Amino acid sequence: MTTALVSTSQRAVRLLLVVALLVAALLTTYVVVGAVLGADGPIDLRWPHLVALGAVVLAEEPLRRWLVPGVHELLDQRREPYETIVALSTPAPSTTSAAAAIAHAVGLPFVEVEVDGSVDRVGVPVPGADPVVLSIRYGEEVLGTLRTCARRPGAQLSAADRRLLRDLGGQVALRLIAEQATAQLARARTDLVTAREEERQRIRNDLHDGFAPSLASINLQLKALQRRTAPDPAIEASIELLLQSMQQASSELRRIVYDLRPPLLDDLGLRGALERGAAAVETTRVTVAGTEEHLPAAIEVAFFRIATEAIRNAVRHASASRVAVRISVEDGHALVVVDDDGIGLSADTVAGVGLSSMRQRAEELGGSLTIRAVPGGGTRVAAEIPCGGGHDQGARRR
Amino acid sequence: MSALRISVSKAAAAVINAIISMVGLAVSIAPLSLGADGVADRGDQPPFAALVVGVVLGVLGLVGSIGIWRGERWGSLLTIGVRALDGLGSLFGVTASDLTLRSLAILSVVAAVLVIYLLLRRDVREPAEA
Repeated sequence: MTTALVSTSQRAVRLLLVVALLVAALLTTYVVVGAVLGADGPIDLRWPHLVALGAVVLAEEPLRRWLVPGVHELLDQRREPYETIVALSTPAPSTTSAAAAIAHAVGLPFVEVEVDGSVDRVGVPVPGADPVVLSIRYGEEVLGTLRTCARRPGAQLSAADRRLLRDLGGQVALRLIAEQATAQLARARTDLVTAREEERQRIRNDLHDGFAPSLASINLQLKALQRRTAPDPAIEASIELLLQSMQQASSELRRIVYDLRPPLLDDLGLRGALERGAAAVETTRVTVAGTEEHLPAAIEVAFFRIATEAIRNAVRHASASRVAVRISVEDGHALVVVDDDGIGLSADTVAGVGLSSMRQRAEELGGSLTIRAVPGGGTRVAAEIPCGGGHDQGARRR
Repeated sequence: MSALRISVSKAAAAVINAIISMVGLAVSIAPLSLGADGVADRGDQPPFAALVVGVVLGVLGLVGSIGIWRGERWGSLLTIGVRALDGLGSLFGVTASDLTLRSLAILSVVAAVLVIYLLLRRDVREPAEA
């Protein structure tokens, strides 16, 4: 019997249906055979009745053997296409796994979906039942394998069941293709941002190590020239003007260098840079805790900007007296959480440029940002970005 | 999704069931206008109660056909129940002396057997996919 799927009451219904149909069929056999042979009146021992009874005895076994699987086949059908397609189309991890959705749709005691070594299984194989193995294909590409078995020992799946399994396998393939495409897109976006950050870091280094010393040298030479040309007022005024321009250029260069990648990140690391920034906040007590591990450059910059923006919002808009920043790395995900005890988010809060920018920084690295009110008052800003296992690799290039 | 469409055997069962149900409905509903006494007075009609049951089974049979056509399991179960009752009821008429009554009874029995067979018939096994 279909051990996992059929309850006692369902089993009783099946038995009742089989018995009722069997009795009806045997009665029909008796009456029809008797009528053909000219039997009439109540049952007696005349030969037409005896032959009809013989026909009933002979028909019982083959009728029963035909009826039992037929009744099971009919009652095992649980095809609910809409629910199944919804379950299979829901991005993983969904509440219903692909294997569970297929098992429910086809009414199977065991379904196993294997994709890239990852196994999604529901139920256990029925001993002695006919095993079925189907490939999950998208075009010519084999994406995985679907394994199942018949519902009862010695039984086989019908053609309709196999067609349904193949169709559902096609739905699973579409879901897998969509997930793969999404993952590839996220990887490509992360690679792009990482490459951008590394390029910005290279430009920053070039400006800092090459252009800035040149400006400083020119500045010194101009000062030397100023001393030698004194006391000519006209030349001295021109040099003074040049020195002021040089000063402005240096300031602009420092701003550009900072915008490309905050130098504090290179000097102190993410936590140190945030601590330095926190120390500059006078009205609010800002604490920074968590890992001092080096993260990839792009993530460090993103976390630095997100945390800085969150602290700024807490101080400026939420009137927070305390802000706590926590950095951590768990299960291949880097996490920064900023909690404050301010007035919190109002219901009509509209995301401004700052909030959108924070979210964008997390999402472009394949992560996410959540902003929510903390029970008891305050706001929590949490950014999570996947950093893989080797987040220390290429974290810095200084 | 091809498997979600009904199979040929189920479609055939739905059509045969609908035809038999309509015939049964027509045969049963016409004499009902005579009333119970009128039916009893005419010797060539089944009992009034049998006619009422025939109408009910005819309506349920049509509903069952719709259920089968829509791929609903209840449609198959309802049709099996209706056809089994109708077939068993018709067994009394198989040995009737009246030719029309006997023909209708045999037709009902054959239809019941055929429809139940088509509904419980398992599809032919397809070659396993590699």
